[in-house]
Amino acid sequence: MIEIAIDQNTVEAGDFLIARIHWAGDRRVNRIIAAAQWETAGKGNRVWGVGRSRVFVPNRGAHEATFPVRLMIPHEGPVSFEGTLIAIAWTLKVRVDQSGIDEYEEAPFRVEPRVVRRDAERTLAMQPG
Amino acid sequence: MRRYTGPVLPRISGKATPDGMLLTRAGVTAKDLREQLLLGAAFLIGAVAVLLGARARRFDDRPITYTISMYFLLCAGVHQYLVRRRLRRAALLVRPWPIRLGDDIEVKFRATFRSSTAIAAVTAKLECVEEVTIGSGRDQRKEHATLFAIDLPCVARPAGDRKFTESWTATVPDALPPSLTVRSNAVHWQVSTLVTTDGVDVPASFELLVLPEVARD
Repeated sequence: MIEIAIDQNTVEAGDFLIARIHWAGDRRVNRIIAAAQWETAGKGNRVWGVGRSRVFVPNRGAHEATFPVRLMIPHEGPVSFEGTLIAIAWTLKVRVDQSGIDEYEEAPFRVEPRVVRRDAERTLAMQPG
Repeated sequence: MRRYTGPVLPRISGKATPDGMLLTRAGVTAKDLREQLLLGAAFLIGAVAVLLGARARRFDDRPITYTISMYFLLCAGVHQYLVRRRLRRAALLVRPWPIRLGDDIEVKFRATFRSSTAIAAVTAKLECVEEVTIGSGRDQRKEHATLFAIDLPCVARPAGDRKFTESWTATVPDALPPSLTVRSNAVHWQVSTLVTTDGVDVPASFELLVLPEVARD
């Protein structure tokens, strides 16, 4: 059993996704992987990518554990949006790597553009190609 | 569904100047010339195959069909090449750079033509376009959808002037997505211009970099 509790359903690009993951089970668990993942949807060929991920290793013999997750969403995004041909969605995906069949759970969240002051220096130093 | 590990923002060639980012376009490049030469070579191969078949008194409609197709393709390619060749160089100076959603941008466009021609009309627009690739191999196709477009006001310059300059200011809406480039899915922000000279439309397009940041007061 996997339970995911996300602190905020909306996160800005460049900010941190904070969540708590609770796992309970009878099987021997090798590791638990939590990843902030984005996927495209819509008419185009579908692709997916990972912003950041974290691996948690429970104590040997443990049958439950709760651990915090703090994953940075990349400054460059992509941000969540629903267009005419393309949609981008983010989810926090948790995979329990255990003996037998692995267990999965996920929780959606939104990534919004980072709000900055109009006169703020451009922090993303984009070099000319 | 394939995993993508590359950058999600486009890489745009330009030169940083004190007045902004300078983006340049040549009317035609060496790559365009190579494409025309390849088309010409493909047409010649077909023509030679037809002639050889005629000499051997062998009737086969495949070389004829191929040669006719290559002929039309070559004509279209050469026409496009000559149209674009009228433009020697186009440049766009953009400030600020990179752009944020909600930014008021200043754009200065300059085009230099190869000969003094009467510029009948100039149109330009700032647009946000989605582009997707569907399928793969021979079934692959691209689709586009315009999420946003505004016309930028232009004033036609008098005849005899090889250089044309125009400046615009525009606001990038903050409710739209930023630039995106991943496999098979892209969101392009661009300034598209069309200069009409002697009844011919000469296009020049410049991609802009819009960050996933929103400017607020």
